[in-house]
Amino acid sequence: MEEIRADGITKRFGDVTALRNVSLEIAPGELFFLLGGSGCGKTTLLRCIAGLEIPTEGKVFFGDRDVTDLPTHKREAAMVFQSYALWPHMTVGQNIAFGLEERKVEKKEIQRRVEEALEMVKLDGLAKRGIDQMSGGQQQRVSLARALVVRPKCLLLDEPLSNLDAQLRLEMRSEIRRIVKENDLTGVYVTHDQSEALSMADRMAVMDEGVIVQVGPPEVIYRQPVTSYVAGFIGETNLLRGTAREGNQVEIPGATLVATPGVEGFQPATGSPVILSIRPEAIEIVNPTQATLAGKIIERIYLGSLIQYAVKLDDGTVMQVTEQNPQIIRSPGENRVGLKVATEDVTLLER
Amino acid sequence: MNRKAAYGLTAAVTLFFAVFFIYPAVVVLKEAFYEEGKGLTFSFVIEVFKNPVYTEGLWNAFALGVTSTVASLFIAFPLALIGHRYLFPFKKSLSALILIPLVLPPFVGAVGVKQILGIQGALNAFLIKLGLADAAMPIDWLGESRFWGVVAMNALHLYPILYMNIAASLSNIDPAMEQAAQNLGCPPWRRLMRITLPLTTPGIFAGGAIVFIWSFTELGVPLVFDYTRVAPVQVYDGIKDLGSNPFPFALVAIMLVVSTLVFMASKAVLGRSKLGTAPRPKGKNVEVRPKRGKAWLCTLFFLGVLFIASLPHAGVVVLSLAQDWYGSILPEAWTTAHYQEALSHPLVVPSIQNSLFYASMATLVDLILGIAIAWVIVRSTIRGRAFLDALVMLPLAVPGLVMAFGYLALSQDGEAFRFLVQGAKENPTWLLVVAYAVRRLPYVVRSAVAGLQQSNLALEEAARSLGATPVRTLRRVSLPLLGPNLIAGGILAFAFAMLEVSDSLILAQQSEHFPITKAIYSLIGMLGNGYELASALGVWAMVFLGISIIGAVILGGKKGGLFRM
Repeated sequence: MEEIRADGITKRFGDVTALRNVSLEIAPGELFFLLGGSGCGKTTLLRCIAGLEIPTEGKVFFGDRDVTDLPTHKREAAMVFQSYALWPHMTVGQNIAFGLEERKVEKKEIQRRVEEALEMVKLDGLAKRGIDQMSGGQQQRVSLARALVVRPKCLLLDEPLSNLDAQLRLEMRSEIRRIVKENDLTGVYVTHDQSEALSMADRMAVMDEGVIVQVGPPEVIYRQPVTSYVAGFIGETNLLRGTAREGNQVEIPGATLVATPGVEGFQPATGSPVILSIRPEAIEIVNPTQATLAGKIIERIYLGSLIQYAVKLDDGTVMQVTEQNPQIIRSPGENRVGLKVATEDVTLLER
Repeated sequence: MNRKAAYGLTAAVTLFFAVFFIYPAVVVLKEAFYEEGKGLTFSFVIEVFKNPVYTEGLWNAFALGVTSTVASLFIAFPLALIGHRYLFPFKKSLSALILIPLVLPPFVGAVGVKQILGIQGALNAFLIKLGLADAAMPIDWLGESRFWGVVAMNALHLYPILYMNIAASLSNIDPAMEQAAQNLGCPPWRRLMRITLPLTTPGIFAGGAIVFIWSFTELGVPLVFDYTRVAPVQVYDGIKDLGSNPFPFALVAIMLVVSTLVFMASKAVLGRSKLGTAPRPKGKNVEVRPKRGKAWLCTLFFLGVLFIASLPHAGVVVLSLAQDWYGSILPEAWTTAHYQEALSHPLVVPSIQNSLFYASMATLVDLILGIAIAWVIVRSTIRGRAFLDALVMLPLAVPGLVMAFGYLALSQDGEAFRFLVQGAKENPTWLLVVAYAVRRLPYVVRSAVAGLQQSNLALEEAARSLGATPVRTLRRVSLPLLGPNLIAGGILAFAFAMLEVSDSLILAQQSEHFPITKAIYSLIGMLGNGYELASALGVWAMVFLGISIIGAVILGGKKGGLFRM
């Protein structure tokens, strides 16, 4: 368990700047997520932490140690690769034993620890298997075991589940979280899958174009996104352009809504352009007379446990609305419906 | 997918191969193991093994094969690794140029080497000038160590095959494989031995087998070096009394068996290897830009290999321009007279015309067959396609010498291929075309297969669904997409046909039908300025082939595919 700190990291590849002055603190024992679209710099940041890339500027600290120039294997941070990177010319056992052999651990001890690691990932007794005899999910477990067996202080995971099918992915989520917690590891986990991050993370950082946009626990990121990018990337949302008015009121075409600022203390000047983010599940469909927004249903998607509607407002804006456990199934058509949303569910963002 | 067409094509190609590839090989085996009136006999082969001259020849050939392969590996692996890992000045052009030695005819280069390493050669002159050697007792570099001379020529000629295979293997390795080892504490040197090298074995075995077979049966270089105690030369010398002497056939048969065993062994190693199932690389290989000095060291290494590999041929160029080159570092006077004289020599111009015709026809045959075979292998789902794939690759395993002997036996009076040799005066044109075509077919098939695999089947299906017939689809969609690959494979096949040695030396008997290689060989044997004339002709050939291979590399893009088994 060790604290990981990135201090003003910039990484350039030729003319391309992958990271711009990124600073980050990850608490000991935390499972921390780096989340963002492709090319946002999340993998580069992870590789800088791992020591597989050296930052152009800035420093990386593990606890009190400045590890910026320390080679990867001396950082005690084991990496799990997206492609697993299991060596096909070695058996499962040999793959796992590799790191211990490099550390000149005694033979008997190696054997004991390999078995222990296999047990940890629930692959007991499969040490003699070839890599090609393992399924995708099993290979994932082997690569976890290979990283764990050297008893690192940190575990770095680069999109570890992106090559698995949906069912297995769900299973491995809790598995990985269990392993990180049981082994008292500081985990850094890179993914582009927001549901993975929301369901597993202690805290997460959302990245875009080489900078960190927001850091926080999943529920804060989801409920109080600080930019429209974060709001759009984490979960689904409706983004409405509007103009700021007095006292957190925002004028949008055809209505005025009261909003809650995404960043505490955000007070846009009256008349300045802003964006409103409203989650589809925060909207309630009511009688048009009881609501500030109204329109017509133009599309319905029935998903059993929930139902999704697309509602076209009078000014032409289309809103996504989700109803949990729907009692009434409404049909698209001419009937006008009203949309009701609570003030704390309307997030006020800078445009 | 038209199964009937696929079966038809498979049958036609198999028939072609049975007649022009398997039958000649079988004839060689028959001559070696069959005696009139006695039936099956091992007495010829046993005689060969009892004869100390033949056993020495075979042993030398085998040793040449092994040593040349190892030497090639020592050149090719560092080149491939550096090229894979680092960015350095002129990398792009250097990695194309580094392939050129493959098409520099080694037996032409051997002429240059003789000039450099001979008793009165450039090296001795250089050493005497430095005071390191005694002018009265010059060293005979090629005297006792002709073996190593042949090894050096083979290695410097064939390393590109290994280089391409290893480079292809390296680019198939997921870069995370090495990073994982690094992350777990494995230092660079051990990482190379424990991870990179084992993961490169498919390339090493695939390329190594071809290099071995090639140098095991190399005829041209030992001939020029007068290294007669090696099986291919003994076989060649035995042609004169072929009618009465079954031993050349027995020798060739033994070489065929050894080559086939090596080929099969490397196939077996590849087949058993789990590397085939390794996940395809997900991460992109990022070439490191080393510090300035180091980057230039990489450039220098590539240049050094190129320099040494082309030294023999540089010697040929100098020789072709030399008025008098004897006992001096460089010729004392220069002249272009040899080029003019060569062009007026009765052997030269016809031989260029002949080679151009033979090679073009052979390439045409290869392209037609290659496209058809590749289509069956990649696009059809018929059961025989794996067999067909293996069959068309076999010519890589069968030495040219073996095939040449089979063709020679079959083109005698009253034999099956007599019809290919028209007229009273034997004209070997079609025999040579077929022989060239069969042996170069694997390159064209490989490149066509690679091209078809890269192109998306949906593109063809789209054309079909819009109403194009299969033939029109092939012409309007598949072929244009395949173009670069076909051109690359075709140029390579053409280049190799142009400088083919064993078929040419053995099958072309009349001087008016000589291809370039046989003309060069005859010129070398001429008294007077034969060497200079041969060099001049050789330079023409090399300029031509250098242009071909650069074109092939530029058009082919991805290297390595052509020499995969």
